[in-house]
Amino acid sequence: MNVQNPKIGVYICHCGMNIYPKVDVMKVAEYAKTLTHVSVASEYKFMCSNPGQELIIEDIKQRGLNRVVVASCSPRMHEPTFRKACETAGLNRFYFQMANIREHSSWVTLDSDMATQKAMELVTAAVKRVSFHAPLYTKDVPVQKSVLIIGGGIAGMQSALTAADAGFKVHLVERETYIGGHMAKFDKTFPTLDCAACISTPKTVSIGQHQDITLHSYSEVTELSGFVGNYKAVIRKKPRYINEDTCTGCGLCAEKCPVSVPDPFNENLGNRKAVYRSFPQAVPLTFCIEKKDPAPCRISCPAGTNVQGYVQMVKTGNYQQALNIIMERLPLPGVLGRVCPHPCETDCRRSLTDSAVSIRDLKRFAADNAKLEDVPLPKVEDRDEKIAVIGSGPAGLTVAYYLRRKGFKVSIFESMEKPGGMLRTGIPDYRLPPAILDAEIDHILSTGIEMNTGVGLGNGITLAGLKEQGFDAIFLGIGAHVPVKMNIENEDADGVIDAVPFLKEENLERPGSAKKRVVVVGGGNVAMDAARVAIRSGAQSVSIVYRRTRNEMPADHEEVEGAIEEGIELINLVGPKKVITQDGKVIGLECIKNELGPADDSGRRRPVPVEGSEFIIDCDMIIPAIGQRVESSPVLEDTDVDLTAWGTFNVDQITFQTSVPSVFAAGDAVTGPATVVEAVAGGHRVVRAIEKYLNNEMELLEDEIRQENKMAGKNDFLPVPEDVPVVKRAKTSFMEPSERKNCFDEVDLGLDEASAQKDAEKCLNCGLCCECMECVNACEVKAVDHEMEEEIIEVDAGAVILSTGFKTFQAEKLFQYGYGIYPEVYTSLEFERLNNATGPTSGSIQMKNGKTPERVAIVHCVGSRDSRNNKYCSRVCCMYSMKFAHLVREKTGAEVWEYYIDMRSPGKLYEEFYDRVQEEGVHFVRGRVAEITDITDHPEDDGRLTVVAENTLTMKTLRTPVDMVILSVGLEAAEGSEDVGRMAGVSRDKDGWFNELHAKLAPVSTPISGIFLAGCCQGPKDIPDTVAQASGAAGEAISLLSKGTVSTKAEISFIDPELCAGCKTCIEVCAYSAIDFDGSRDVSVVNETLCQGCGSCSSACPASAAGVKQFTDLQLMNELEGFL
Amino acid sequence: MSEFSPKIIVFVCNWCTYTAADLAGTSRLPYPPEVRLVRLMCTGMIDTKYILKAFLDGADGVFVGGCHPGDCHYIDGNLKAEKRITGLQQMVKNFGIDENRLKLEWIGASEGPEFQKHMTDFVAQIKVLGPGQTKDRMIL
Amino acid sequence: MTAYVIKGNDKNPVQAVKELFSKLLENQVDYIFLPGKSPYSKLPMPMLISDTAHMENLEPLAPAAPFNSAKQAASVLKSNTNKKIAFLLKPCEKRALVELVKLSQCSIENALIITADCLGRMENSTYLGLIEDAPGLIEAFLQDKSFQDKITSSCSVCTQFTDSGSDIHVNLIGCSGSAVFVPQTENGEAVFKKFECDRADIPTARENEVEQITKKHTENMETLSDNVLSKTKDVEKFQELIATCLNCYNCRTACPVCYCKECVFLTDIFNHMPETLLNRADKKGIIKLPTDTTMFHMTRLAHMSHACVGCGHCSSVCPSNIPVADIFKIVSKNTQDFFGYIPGENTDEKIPYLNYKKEN
Repeated sequence: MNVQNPKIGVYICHCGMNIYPKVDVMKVAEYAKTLTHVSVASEYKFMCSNPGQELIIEDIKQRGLNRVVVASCSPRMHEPTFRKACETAGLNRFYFQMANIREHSSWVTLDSDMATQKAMELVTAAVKRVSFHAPLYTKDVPVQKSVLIIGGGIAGMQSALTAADAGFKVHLVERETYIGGHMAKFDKTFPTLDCAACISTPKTVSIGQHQDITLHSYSEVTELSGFVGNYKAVIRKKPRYINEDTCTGCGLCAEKCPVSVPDPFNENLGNRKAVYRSFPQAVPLTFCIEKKDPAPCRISCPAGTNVQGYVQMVKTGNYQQALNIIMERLPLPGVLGRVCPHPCETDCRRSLTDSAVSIRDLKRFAADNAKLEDVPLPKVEDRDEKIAVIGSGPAGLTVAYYLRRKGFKVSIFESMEKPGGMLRTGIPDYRLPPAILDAEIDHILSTGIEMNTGVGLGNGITLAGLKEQGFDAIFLGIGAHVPVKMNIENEDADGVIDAVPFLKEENLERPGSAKKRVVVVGGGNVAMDAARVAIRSGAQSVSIVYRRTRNEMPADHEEVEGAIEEGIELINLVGPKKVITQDGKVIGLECIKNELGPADDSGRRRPVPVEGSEFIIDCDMIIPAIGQRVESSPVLEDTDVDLTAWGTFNVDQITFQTSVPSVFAAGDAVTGPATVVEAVAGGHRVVRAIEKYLNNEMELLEDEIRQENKMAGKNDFLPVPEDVPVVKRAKTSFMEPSERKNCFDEVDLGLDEASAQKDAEKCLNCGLCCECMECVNACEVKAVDHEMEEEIIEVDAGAVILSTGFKTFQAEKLFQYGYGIYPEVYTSLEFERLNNATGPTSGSIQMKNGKTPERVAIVHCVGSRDSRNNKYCSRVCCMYSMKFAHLVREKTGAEVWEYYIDMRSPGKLYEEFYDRVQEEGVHFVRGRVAEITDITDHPEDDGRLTVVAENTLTMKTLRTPVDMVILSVGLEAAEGSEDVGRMAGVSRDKDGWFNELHAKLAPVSTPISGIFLAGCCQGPKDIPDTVAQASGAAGEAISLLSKGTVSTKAEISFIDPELCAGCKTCIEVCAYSAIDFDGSRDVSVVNETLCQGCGSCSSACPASAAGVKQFTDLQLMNELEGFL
Repeated sequence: MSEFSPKIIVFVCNWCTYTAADLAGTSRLPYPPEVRLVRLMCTGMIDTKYILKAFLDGADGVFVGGCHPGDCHYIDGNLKAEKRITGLQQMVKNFGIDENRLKLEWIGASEGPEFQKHMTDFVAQIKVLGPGQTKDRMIL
Repeated sequence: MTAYVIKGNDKNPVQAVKELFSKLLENQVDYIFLPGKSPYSKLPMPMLISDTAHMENLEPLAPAAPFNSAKQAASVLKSNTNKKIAFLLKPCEKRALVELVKLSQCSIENALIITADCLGRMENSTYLGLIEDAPGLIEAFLQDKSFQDKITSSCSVCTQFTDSGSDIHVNLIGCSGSAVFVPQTENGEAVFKKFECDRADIPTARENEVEQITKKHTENMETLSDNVLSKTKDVEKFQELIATCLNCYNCRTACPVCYCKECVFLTDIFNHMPETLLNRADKKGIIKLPTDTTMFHMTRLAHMSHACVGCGHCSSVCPSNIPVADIFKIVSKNTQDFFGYIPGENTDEKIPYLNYKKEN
């Protein structure tokens, strides 16, 4: 082809009456003739018609044209047509240029002369440009013979089957746990009224069975890359926690599951379990467990006990499993069920509505009602490593028990005669009966732990000694038993005895050592215990002296209450100043009054003594209870272990190792006096550390713990339902103060079964699945796997079909219709479920009170054809509304009113259905409903709803009393379709529906070749249209792929090696890494399969070495030349 | 002398703004006749040469229309264009070419009415600024 | 900061620099690259030396340079030869070299870059005129302020006449006639570990003198911009400046950062077909030839103004005496201020147009 002297043919199209007469096409043609290199210019009615194209083909052949310009519509419409024509005539298709004088001139320019002028300039530019066009050639590249379909509704299923039956591999991705989409929720379908399930299940089933369809359910596409014929998708498969291959769908797991939550599949009209399948015929039939973040109670428990789990087990009366769950983290369930300060209850979300669940009492109830000996022990290999545990308090027992459960050899050394540490000596029997403690300790020991009592550091053993005896690790759980002094005058007088030895003595020997008038100093639990023990061991009056007010008291509320009930006097804002003695014996305590000053570091207001406010409290016994220290001297004797400023053991916060690697510590000995559960928590950290230490994996520990901390605190919990009834918090019964103050019997008598279960009912299941493991036990094929994690799958696909469907309009937005306020106002989807055999009422149309409605109103166009919401018509509402009317009439015989604006019933048998429903006696009211209210006009209608609307045919305002209202909500683009659109590069229209390539000529194609649209994601449509369009989309995909190759884009970048200076700027700006650097020649080179032709390189290249074919500098500069 | 009718070059990307222009057409949304569209695959293609050429060869205003950030068919070509064009606005300012004669706007594929509005406003703005300097002058 | 002076030559900067380079060539680098005069001209040109025998030809610190030697420096650093080369560059030459590194035109991994305070350069003719009857010109120039009015207009407005990014910088200003070597990188530091030289302090006078010159040059800049702006305030006025441009493209040949193999203005895009020219004539009735001169200068400004190092050679080589450098100076300042970009500062700084990604 001789590029040097172009021979250009210019053709102006009338486009019927669309371009001509607005544009004077004859004038334009005449003008075109005057342009350089133009050898022929003519106009014709329809250039795109066959005769029109013939015109071009003939001229090319007869007159030897080597360039063609057509001035007509948008190139996005007919460029391919005319390029084809050139090709037919033997001219390279890229020797063609189009001038858009319709969309860009005749249609948008008011003045005819102006339009013509513009048309002429558009032609000039095109003519100048085309002279510099060059022939381009495309390459054929092989395609992936597979189709990716995003969305498994009826559209996606139809496309999948069509493509798969044609022999293509199909990847069908559905984000729900089942396929079928909205159609799976319907009962009947208009106008034929055949059952939705009956026509869709055959499809779902054959999808499940089709050998060429891979179904990715409960999955989402997170990335889409590549180009036509060779797309790559990344699919994120969410964990079902149930193995798809082994699950038989028997449903035993769901039967056992204690957790019941609102069922979104039933539009939350009914409930489902935490392990569920949305409906019986679901494909795949596999059940699914839904988990949220671990419940707040579980997080706030220092020991990490699965609170939600055992509370659910108490609810269902499975006390043994409750105990088993507790024993996973708490070795002393009965003890903690009595003495735990229950931080879990503080964080319980139930307190947002009424009051927290009585978690601690439920724990005790489980412990009291199940057998320790039946708690299963993990089957593990015994290990040879020996661990010495010094001290048998809560920390020591935890370390011993859980290390034993891991198979280690454990020996406990307890300096006292009986094990239990502070549990035994510190906590009075009326709070913690010794029988309970003994039973639980015996159980712990029964797992094969050696207990040596009466042996402790300083009497019998030393750290060094234990090492010599071959212990691989040593745990220090020696607590904090040494009283802190008051540092006042006469502190050592006869009659002053500290709380710790006092309680120890009373607990172990119970000598009744209390004198007549006792003063206890301090405000903590120990002070309360001492006071209440003193009362029980013979004191006539007991007072507690505390330097701040009751609000600042660290003691548990229950304890203070208990003390007061037992007649113990609180003397607040008073500090001890001096012990008054007479010949060595205590006769009183001189105190000074305080007032509260500014807050100190603990956040509590500091007491400030009031000058001269001294006074004396007569008494013969003083029990200081102001704190304890750690007895570290025997440890330090032969091993120097670092201590903190407070004299506690200094341990690494992650490993709990002391400065001596093989020696670990936790409990009061590390934290100072603290709670039992904190000691247990420390114990667990040590167990973990010691195991890692003995496996020489210490370095892993840090990462693990950092990882866990990262996971924590996302706070994605099951939302609190609006309609939670207020339930009074279960209260345990107490022994009468009058009798209990004379004995050491347990005061708190615990919960009875009824109130325990009632209180457990209150649990909101914040974490959804409570991990009680009942499903695991129930599953015969062992398909349940609570450890399952999400999978990332990568698939290749030659073509992609988007079928992401729709969501329904949020009826709450139209508050005047009272949705969400009046229980008898339903959305159409809710009604579908109400009417569905698999729905919450098994298909009987009834109101929330169980009665059958007698009068029903159906409101059309809710959220559609409404300038304030969606302008468009949702196309399906009229028909399904009439379907509802028919079903209501058929099932209940109720009177039905349809409030419509215009009746839209185009389509085969649709109008006939309209007639039929009219004949069935349904009232049709033409008019938009103004309001729905519970204010009725006649007393006999009380309890009913009134539908207010104007009948625009009779011009009358109607107030119709009804029992039930159905809102025919419109359709909107599905949640997340924006992201899918961006991923696929498919734009969305102003309403959010995907843009098709051409509204008439390419309704299932998109501007992105190889990506197609099916169903409602492109716009509202009914099932017949959807299925037709879905088949169409599949057809397009098949026709694209069956050839086996696609031709690469010709309009891609090139880099002139003669001009390239090798600066690599283009490589930097290329978004597709489609440019490589050829070091041998120091030039950049375009990778033709990757290049998308965006031209970032061409504008970035200062040397103009890079350019885009068909958009070269030369071509564009000359196009401009034509305009200017 | 009749009212000043400016010459305006509009560079648009194929995927968003050209589509919007077509939509304005099919929806019959009229706008001033002075605008001349140059179709590119992406605004990221625009070489400063094109814009300078337009200004030096008699254009009174240059308008660039691309996809909204995040919607670019080529990931971020529009951002590259933005950088280049803001730079060029500074450059031409040195020669008394008012930076408002060079405008960059994001117009999505579905925004036919927005396209109409932008064209109308821009033409109006250029009419206020008056004829460019290079019209019918011996410059280039 | 430690500084050094060369024993014995502490009163003769030129000698001191020569000494340093011959020491380097003796046992630290394979080649040295610095200005020297050929037997055929007194005009210093960049010389590439492998043998200390030729040291006498060297003429460092001369207030003249026929062109910015960055391109020449780049040409020996284009591909990695694993040879170590020590360079003596004017600050503007070093800045240009850094820009070329960013554009992958060369790599300075094996280069030892030494810069020296620059008091400006004279036009070739001026220099040759003076050197004839004043052999000691170079030394004198460093001392005698009267010479310094003879420097080019670009140099007289330059405020980047010292350097902080090179391996070693030679302090001359305020050093009362001696050369004080200041290592500015580890490589630079290493140099002085390897041979005898005295530690020294940077004279206190320096700071003040640098300030003085900066102040003077800044004032010059203001005057310059006033009269250039008056000529660029609109496109038509601008014609007066460039009316005589004959599209010889000397300016871009001399430009150290115009690195294209072949300028786009030499390609078909601007080699118009006859009909294009005729059409233009038709359209306007009259056109000036050659065409596209405004287009050329503005396109260069659009391409290069962010990278211009202000060496002024474009003006020096213009046969039509168009103050190209002055125009660039003004436009570049605006562009560079707008992007907050300082060309030649350091090799890691992205050039503005590649810096388009939005956060998050």
